[in-house]
Amino acid sequence: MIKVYPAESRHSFDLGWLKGSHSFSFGNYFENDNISFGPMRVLNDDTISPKRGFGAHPHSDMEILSIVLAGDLRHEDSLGNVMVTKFGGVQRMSAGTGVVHTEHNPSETEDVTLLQLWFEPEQKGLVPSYEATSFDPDALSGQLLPIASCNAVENSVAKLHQDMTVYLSKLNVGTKVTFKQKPGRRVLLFVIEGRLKVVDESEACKLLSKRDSARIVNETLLRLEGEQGEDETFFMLIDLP
Amino acid sequence: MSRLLIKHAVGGRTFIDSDTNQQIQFELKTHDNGKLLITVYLTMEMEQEINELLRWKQELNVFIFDKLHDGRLQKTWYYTGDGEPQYNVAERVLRIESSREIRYLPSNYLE
Repeated sequence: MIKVYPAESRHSFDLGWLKGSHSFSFGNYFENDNISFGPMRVLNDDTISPKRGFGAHPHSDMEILSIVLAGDLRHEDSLGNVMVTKFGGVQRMSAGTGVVHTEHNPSETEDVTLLQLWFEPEQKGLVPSYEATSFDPDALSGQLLPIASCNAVENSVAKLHQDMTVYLSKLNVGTKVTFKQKPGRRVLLFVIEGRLKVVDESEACKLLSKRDSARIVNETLLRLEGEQGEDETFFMLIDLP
Repeated sequence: MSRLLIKHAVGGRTFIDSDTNQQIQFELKTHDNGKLLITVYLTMEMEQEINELLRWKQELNVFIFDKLHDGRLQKTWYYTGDGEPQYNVAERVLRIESSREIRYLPSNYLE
């Protein structure tokens, strides 16, 4: 089953310094039937104005992944980490028994746009940790590139303490990739740019546009195609329990 | 005077705030096992807030805010993930155990 969530179904807001869209219940946007998708709890699509950001605040028992789409994101935490990340960079924080951090846009002129994803870890009480990894943007073309996973690769695939993998991909018009969904697993698709055709094994087709997402269960083989009318489709696929 | 604040850790919905409801009293005691016990006395009906808090009792951000002598705000955050808050309906008393805390000055970070 492929359930499509159009971009406009998200909870969007504009605080001036922060423009965001929340795919799941978060803060004052609360819907009982939109709390989670498996261990996934948060998918926030945020744009932060120059020299603004989130002040010091704590997290615990959550795997937090920040994927920078444009601009610079500065992270600082109580573990002593300070890092600025741009497109091609990923920040992963395993909050465990607690960490305080800030997230800021250090630029004088440019917005930063990021996706922030939260996942429940396999177990609580982990030792808090942080890492910044990077991927080669050119390697996104025509394949599902893992950027964060339980099967980490030092410096390139961030370590998630959950049985899951986050992929990014870019597809030119007419190019396709396939993904085998294992029994009992979930897949979340999120289109960052362009349009994506999602075809299941019965050849039923769904079309996702920019910032649309789909939550997929009980499928076997997914075929993902860059859709005509767009130069390139940029999307995220998350395989999770 | 210290301020007790209990929020949902996912997104920050506030469940209890001793600043906005000054009838709320609280105290901290350290157990023999080293864990801290935070006891919150609710002197008025807060059924809706408590029900919502208990629903998310595994995902709480528990803070105490203090104003330092120099005017700076100090926040103490308590980890509650290895215990389960208990609420005594008859007494209107909420008990929360914490095994770890982080004390920080927000002004030491970018705000």
